[in-house]
Amino acid sequence: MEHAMSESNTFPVDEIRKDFPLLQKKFYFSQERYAPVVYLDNAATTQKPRQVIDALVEYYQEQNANVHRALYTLGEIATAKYEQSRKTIANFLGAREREIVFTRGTTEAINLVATSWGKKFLGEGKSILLSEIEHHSNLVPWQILAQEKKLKLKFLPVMKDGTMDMAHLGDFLDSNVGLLAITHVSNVFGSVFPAQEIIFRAHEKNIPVLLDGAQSVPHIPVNVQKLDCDFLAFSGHKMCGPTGIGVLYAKEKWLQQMAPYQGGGDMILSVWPEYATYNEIPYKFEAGTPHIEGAIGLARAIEYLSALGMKNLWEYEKKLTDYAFSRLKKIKNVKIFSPGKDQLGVLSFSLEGIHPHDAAQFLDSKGIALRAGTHCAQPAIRKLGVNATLRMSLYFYNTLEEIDYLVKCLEEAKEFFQNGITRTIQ
Amino acid sequence: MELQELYNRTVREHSIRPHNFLNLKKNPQAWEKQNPECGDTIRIFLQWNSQEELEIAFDMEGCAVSTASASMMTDIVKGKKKQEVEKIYQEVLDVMKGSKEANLLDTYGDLSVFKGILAYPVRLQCAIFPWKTLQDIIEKRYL
Ligand SMILES: Cc1ncc(COP(=O)(O)O)c(C=O)c1O
Repeated sequence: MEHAMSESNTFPVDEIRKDFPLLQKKFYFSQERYAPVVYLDNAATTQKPRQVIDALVEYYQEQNANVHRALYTLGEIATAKYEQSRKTIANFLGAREREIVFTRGTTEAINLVATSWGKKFLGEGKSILLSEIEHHSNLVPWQILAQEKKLKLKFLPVMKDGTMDMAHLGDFLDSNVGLLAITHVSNVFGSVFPAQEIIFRAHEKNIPVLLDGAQSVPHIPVNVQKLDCDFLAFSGHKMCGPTGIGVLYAKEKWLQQMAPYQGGGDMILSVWPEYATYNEIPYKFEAGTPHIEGAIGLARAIEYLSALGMKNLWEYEKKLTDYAFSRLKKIKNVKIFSPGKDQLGVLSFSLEGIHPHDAAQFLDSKGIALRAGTHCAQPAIRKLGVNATLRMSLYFYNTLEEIDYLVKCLEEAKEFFQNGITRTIQ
Repeated sequence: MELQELYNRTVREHSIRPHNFLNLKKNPQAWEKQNPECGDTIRIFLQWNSQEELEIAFDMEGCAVSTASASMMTDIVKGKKKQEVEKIYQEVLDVMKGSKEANLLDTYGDLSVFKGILAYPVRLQCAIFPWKTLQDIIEKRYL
């Protein structure tokens, strides 16, 4: 049974939490805290509902066989499930099935584009346009390609709170730009780039656009036709799905022209000692036995989210985010780096005089899981003029009470470390 | 992890008032290294004096654990000859990476307080960071 929104129109978060076995389990955090975790690191990965866990178990107990090659009954079952998953994902994004390539995650999806598309379509002297605050996985693959193909990397300026500096966008969109690759939602700030407008303006200059959807697809409705992006990458594990599975959406016209990413089984039609012909899309980009149960689990996660309604999830998360922002703002000595409006539930902040690691360690002893560090986005953190931040990131199973508890513990952390715990050179 | 155990008096003292702590920000002879995961930065200045003994100072933007670890490290290796310094950081790193007995830390005075975090591989990285930096400076770039 999926949950319906109750008539009073309140989000049934208590019911929903029951779907997540890990959120029920008690952990020993310290002598004073033996309790379920207050999980606030959803930008890193999300917890899994029993529906998804069951789908994985069911696959191994009832459907396991290799796909696309076994003629027997079990092979047909596994292949049908795998391809059905592709269809579920395509529908979810407003795409066609042949435009959905399964990958290991966002990182591999972006590397696939850099390798298969970039090597072919980006010639010497062209530039790749990124933003200043990209996750390393939407930065390093382009650095590697740029070195190899003698391309330039250029960076769209971003405001101090992680929002896009739209006034200067036009200055950067020139005919030398071969690709614009940007994140949709920042994993450091939670800020949302106005993707539709950016893509529209890039296309006016014939610049294709790759969108890193790792932090958007799990949280807001994303429709590739409406956005008109050329590529979209995201990860299953950040949206209640298993690890090791992700998606590259690419417009068919590009997939048809792209070179294979890896060679091996499944991606070929016929093979001779000296050469091979390649399978049709999207199989051409899925060499070897795929992560079958991963795809099935991801599709199940998408069904789960869809039944709750992406719009409802978003509205509830917005309520949580606004509440968290207003509560954090009132704590003395808390510095918030996120914009506070038009953003999703990722909040970066720091406690004056207390290193983020020490704060996170304190919170852990209270049973709160929250990130401290550079969040795989060193250039973004450097821009803030700090070494690291604390980052809380919300999902639809978090509650207002959890935020209250976090605030209470942050106050206690200040007390525990009193006038600071480390010395730094100013 | 128990907070009182990790942030005990020794760690607090070393992190709030670190030993051998100097502003090296503008010192061109200081080696600087950043920990990519957490963003912490350490700067270490070292030289061998006329008796071939180590002179060392550091500064860092880091957490209590990494700062305390660096402070203790400089206390331990200061005034030692190169061969001995190498033996010490090798042994400490071996313990921290799990290939040698935890109790060996007892022979290094204050450093024994870190026995408690040996079981926490993520946080342990903070304690390892200054030691690994010292090793890198001596083996890969220095002398
Ligand atoms: C914005 C963004 N891009 C890319 C990634 C990389 O995702 P993955 O590690 O699942 O490939 C992440 C997640 O850490 C992210 O937040």
